[in-house]
Amino acid sequence: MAGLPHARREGVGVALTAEAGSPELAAPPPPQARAGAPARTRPARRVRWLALRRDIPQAAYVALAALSFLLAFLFWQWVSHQAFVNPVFVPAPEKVWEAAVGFLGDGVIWTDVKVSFFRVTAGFLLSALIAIPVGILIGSFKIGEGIVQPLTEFVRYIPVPALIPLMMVLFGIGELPKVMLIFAGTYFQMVLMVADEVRRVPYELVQVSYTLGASRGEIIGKVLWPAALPGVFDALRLCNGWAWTYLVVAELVAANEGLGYRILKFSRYLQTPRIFVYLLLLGVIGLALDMVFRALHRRLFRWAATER
Amino acid sequence: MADIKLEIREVEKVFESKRKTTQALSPTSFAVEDGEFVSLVGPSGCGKSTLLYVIAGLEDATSGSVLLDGREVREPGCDRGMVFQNYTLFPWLTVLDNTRFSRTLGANHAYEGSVAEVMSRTNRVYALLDLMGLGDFHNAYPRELSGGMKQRVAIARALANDPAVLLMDEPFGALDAQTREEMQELLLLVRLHWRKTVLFVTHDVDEAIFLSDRIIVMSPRPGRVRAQLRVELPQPRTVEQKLAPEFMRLKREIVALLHESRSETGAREKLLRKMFDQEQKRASA
Repeated sequence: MAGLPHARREGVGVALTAEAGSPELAAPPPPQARAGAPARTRPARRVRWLALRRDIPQAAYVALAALSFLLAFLFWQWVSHQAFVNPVFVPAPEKVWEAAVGFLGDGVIWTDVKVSFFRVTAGFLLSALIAIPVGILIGSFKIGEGIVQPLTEFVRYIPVPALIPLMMVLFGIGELPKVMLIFAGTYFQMVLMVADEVRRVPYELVQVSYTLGASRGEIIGKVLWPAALPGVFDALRLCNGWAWTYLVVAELVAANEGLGYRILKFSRYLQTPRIFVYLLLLGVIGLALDMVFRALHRRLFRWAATER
Repeated sequence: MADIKLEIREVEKVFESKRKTTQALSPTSFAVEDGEFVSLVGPSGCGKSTLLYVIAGLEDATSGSVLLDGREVREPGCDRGMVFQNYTLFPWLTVLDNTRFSRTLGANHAYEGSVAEVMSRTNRVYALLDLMGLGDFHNAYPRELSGGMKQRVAIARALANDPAVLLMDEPFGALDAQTREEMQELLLLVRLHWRKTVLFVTHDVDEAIFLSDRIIVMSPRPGRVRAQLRVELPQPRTVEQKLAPEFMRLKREIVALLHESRSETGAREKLLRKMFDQEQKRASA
């Protein structure tokens, strides 16, 4: 650490001499200047590790994330070998690894992923398809808000598992009740989130659009919608996560396959290593989807990059 | 004598809430001639912005009417362009797309007749951006621009529509002093080439004198027209004129008018003196 201030001082000195030197920029810099060049182009910046809401280097962030996974794993490793822990309930990582290798042989795990992915995605897309237009109308017109919002707030608090019998009565025991359950779990949240995003668009943008000659329909389509889109996209990302959490509930309904169903089946036989494999798989799927959403967000909404 | 472009007739605005009613604007009347630059100055809360919003059709007047070219206007429309104090650019559109936003709207397709006219409208957008010094920033997004540049885009966007009048609500209020001065000169330049009718709201007396043909001084809430002053400084104006005797005379007059209406000043002074005396006593004790 002691060498750092010295290096910085040297960098400044080099910058000064370079400025004071001859204006012929094409001439190669003197050897000392070249040695000090990195310090000049990027002055050593002190990272404030504990500053509120300030950035830390990207590499450090990734390292911290990796470290947290590693620590969680080590804790698991340690706790699973303790005497006070029943290995039936907390299987050791080795046992889980064995179970995972065992799954590779048959295609059941992939069928489960496929079936569950379809159910979650179908429920989620159906919910988005309805929630986005309805949410935009609620967010744009106070009348729409009055009609839809209080009712939605009311329904939102009904626990989704409590709807299972109703779903079976209404939609039978095929794929439909499972998709509809995930729909019910995400739709009511999503509508309100989309409406909130529309309401968050500064009113000045609406006013300026009026003065430019826009009609109400044009303001919704050309101003409110594009302005709310990044927020709506974020709402979709969160709702997709919730959709996955309703999977196990959905697969309580007369299922024969799927990740949630399989976990329930394994638990009946206390096959905890296998349960752990499925849980880890769910975590990985969720994380991957989240990263896809985030990458798309960065790509699509470069204009909305946060200002600092 | 030029024609009357914009006429404000007994416009009054009362805000009503459950608890109380507030009169923001007492019945106010004045007219703006075609091609004239009129500034509204007054203490904050005197209803000058409210009046501008009523003219734009963004607020309903409690009573009275606004006439544009002799016809009453109630709804907002592209004939009254507006520039706001806050940056109101569409952040997802580039500078170019922001400026030609109004061209994508149905209201403007209606009278977009011949090919030549379409061409001239397109050319106007490019010409405006050049005029505003934004020629190299067509594809920049608003978040990449400085405050002054954002406001230049906002002005270009309002003018691209070729509105009958341009309403400006403290458009340079959020800018630093230097940028503000640059923008004032730019606005004068634009006006020199484009005899646009402008109604400009500000609380900066210098700005009002520098830019306007006429200044309307308003009294505090509930606002009403207190005085109207004609600015006789020759056009084209330069910054040096801010030191001219005529400029100073006008400034003194307007400041006096604004100061006169601040009735509470005396009371505040008394209060301050009392506080000061008490402090002194405490210090000596």
